[in-house]
Amino acid sequence: MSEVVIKTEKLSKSFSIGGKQQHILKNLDLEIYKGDFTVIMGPSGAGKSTLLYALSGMDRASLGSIYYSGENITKYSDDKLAVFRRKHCGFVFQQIHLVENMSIMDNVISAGMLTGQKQKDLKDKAMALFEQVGIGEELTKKFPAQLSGGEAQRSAVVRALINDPDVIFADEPTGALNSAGVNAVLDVLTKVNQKGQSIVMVTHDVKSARRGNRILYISDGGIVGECHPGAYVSEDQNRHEVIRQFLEKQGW
Amino acid sequence: MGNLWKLIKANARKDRGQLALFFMILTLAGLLLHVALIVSDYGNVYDRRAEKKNLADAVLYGIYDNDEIQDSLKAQGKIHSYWMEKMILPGTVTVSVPSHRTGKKIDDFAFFENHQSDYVKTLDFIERSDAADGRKIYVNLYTARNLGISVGDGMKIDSEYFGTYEFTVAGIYEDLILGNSFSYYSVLVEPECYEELKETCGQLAAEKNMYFERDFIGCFLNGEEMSNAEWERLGMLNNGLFGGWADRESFKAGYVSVVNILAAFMAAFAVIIILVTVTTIAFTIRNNIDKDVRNLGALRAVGFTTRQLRRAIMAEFTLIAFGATLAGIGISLATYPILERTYIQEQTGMRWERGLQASHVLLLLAFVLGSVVLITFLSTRKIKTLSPATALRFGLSSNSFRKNYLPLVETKGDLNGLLALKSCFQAKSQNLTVFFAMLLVSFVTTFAAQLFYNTQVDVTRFQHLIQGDVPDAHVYFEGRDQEELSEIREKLFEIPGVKQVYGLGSTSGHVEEEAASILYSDSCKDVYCGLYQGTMAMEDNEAVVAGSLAEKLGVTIGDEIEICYGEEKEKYLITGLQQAVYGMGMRIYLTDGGARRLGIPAEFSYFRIRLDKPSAAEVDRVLEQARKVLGEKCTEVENYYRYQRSMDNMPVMAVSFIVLLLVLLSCVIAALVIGLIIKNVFVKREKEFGIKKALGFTSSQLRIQLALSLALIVFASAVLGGVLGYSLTNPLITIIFWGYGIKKAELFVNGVVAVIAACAVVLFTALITYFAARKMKKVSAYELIRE
Repeated sequence: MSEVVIKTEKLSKSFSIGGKQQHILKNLDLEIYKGDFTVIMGPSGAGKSTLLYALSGMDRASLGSIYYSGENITKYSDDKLAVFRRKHCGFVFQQIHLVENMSIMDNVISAGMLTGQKQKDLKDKAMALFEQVGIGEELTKKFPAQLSGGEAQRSAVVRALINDPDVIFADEPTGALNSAGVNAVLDVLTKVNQKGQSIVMVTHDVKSARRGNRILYISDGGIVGECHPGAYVSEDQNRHEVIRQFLEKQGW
Repeated sequence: MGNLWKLIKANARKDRGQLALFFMILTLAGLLLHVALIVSDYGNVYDRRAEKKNLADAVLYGIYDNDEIQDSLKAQGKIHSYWMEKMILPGTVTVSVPSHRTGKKIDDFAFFENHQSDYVKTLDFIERSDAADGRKIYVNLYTARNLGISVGDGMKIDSEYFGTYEFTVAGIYEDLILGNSFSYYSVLVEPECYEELKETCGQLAAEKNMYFERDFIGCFLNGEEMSNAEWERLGMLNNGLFGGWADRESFKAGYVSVVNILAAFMAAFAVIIILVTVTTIAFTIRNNIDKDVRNLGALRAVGFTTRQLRRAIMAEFTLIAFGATLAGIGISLATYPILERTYIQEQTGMRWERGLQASHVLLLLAFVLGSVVLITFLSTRKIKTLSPATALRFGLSSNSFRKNYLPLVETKGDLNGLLALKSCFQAKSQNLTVFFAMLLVSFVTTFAAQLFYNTQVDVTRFQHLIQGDVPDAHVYFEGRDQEELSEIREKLFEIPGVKQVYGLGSTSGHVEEEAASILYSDSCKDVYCGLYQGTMAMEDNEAVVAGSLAEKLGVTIGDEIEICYGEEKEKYLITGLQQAVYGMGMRIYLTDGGARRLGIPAEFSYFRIRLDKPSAAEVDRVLEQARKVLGEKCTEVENYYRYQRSMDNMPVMAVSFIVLLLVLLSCVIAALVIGLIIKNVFVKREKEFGIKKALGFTSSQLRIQLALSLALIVFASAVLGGVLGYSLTNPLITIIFWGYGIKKAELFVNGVVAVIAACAVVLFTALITYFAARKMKKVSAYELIRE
């Protein structure tokens, strides 16, 4: 059995919308294992993104607990959570969310400097990562608005990786990309996972989901199904069929 | 129209925080402007009431030979009718009322008879209770407000010559001739009482050769203008024994000059506030467009035209401005009666015409809405050529992408500092607007602080600006011949701490057709006359003339003018130009010898004293010494230093009080504007802060980054605003008082005050930034990104 990185106990999250309390997550128990590429799927409004942001400490749970490597992070102060995120988490968002008034390189370096790494070391490390995701040096000097969606998202992946986080949280990372962009980003994430980093990814896209070795199906605020298609090596029909049947069973 | 309305509502929902602040700022600006309009309208109110009451065109006062004055009035073809009234001026009296139990000394007190006369018919009773017990007295509004008396109060009047009279206040009336700070504390007494006083007058005239009863004559013109010289000739009949004249414009000046100064101050502040507000509106709109450009792109994509989008934004702010202006007007209408009752009536001696004046509302709306429409129109130009595709894909950022300032890989330094500086350099357009808005805030704060210093801390120069010469003490004495005067002066000089002793007298005269006050002194070098060009008159053929009078006459230093006093005329060489608000800048300064050349007696009944190091206690000490050394010759002393700084010193204190209110209001508005600017900056960068928070920046780091990214701009604008406030205070005061003859104001402009004001703006901004960014701590990274 793999080591548990994140564990939730009776996790609940509610929002007040228009004065009415909406229960998005309900008493959810979940474990995320080290080295897994966990994919969270489900219908719109099921609570996928809410779960992702709660697990990463970007948002607070209404009730219940979240443990990271055995430590209860729900009790953390705001600042302690920030330090937790910078040390242990990397983020890739659907809307990319690079800081617009900083160059691509500065977006990456600033995240690295937060953990106290030296600028020179960071530059070398960033350049290596940029090379891995197919971003040339010239592009790193540009601002996010000057890049294509795919280039910007791959840069965001570099930013997520710069601190060697234990877990990378990706919220629909391919949602705003064209098919070439989708493959490039998924390949990077797969490669990172294959090197041992845990990934938790929310997606609507079956093609993206095929990269995961564990697929959780969430509906009505709880995990209702789980599928283990095995580690991703390459696109094969069998893997595709297993996932298709699982999703069909869930009512996808 | 339906779609536009929906857009406006949607925008308003989204911007409700900003709009609430705008509403408050514009409400305060509207309130201030409306009060300024009300206050500046007293001149018109006076004219309307004067017409309604058939007020005399001019009055003559003095001791006249009845036949001679009547013959002269009839002979003067330009006067078609007149009325004659008697008044008793009892000299200095001590008035004790419930609010002044110890008694208040009043020099200019006048008794009139309450009977059916043409003069009494011009009085308008505001409150009356003829059923009051005891001896009845009716007081004019100015007297009532200054003494703090109401109908039914007891009033005791002590006079050295007339004894003690006790009255019950039976009414308060508005008097449009003798009811202001330039005239008398006039009262009406019942005929029996007036007869008693008149009898005493007769005895005093017979036994002591002292004359207290005066003629008071109201004249009506037949439509032809009478020259000042003609009026002066009539007023000075019977050798000008206590005689003089005043026309309707002079009466009016007594009622409205103080409130006009107040209105000028209020209008100046209100205009600066509107300027700050429209700058902030421009900043907010530009920010909102940057922030919401994708929404705007989406709206363009579904078919809205840029004109519709611009109209929606313009309508949103215009509606707020409209509502806020009306709210400001409403609040001013609700609160002005309180200000008027407790404060303004004391200055004007008149009642305000209650109710809403359509012309004021229209003027105010036109000014505020015009400014807001213009600024929103200009600020929304940015979306004129907005292509939906570009907006949706790339947005419209105000950041400059031409250069990556301080690249992190090459620049050494603290991460927070570097990121703050990068944000600062990258957002040039935002910086420019923040700079301009903060510059205005800093300027108005510094200007207000300088005024505060001049009206609350050291009032000397402000007194000079308003009144001209202001001594520290007055010493009254008996004895008029030169030898005695020299002896008194020498004795006063010998008192330790005394710096200057001089006499200063005044009378009325004219130059060509311009009436002027003639002031003369036995020691012109000691007189502060507000000289702003040239030198003081030192020889008997020299004169210093008010700048505004010189302008009207078309003369300047080195020219010769012919000054007239009654029938006498003499030529004088202009050696200098002076200024002071009192007398509307129509003054001439001569030496006492120069005054005598015109036949002016130029005698002094008191000396003015200035000390080396004045303080209320020091003046008391000197005056005590003066009493000792002069003995019986000293009839009275006055600590003028204390008076200058007391609430009795109207209208200087009136202006001080309003300035204090304006300073407080400016601080509130400055706080709101700073709050709005910071809120705008924060809202615009909210997503950036959310991303950074997600990456692991703590709330404190982000707050520091926000504060530091604004620090340079705020500091630079505060410094420049402070410098501008420092250097433009006097020019701005000159503009405000230009109509009162001030050509070059010389208020204290204190560098330390400017530095304190600028520092206050910086600190206040830092404080507001800290509080505005509280959301950073309260809200999760996820929510910040989602905003």
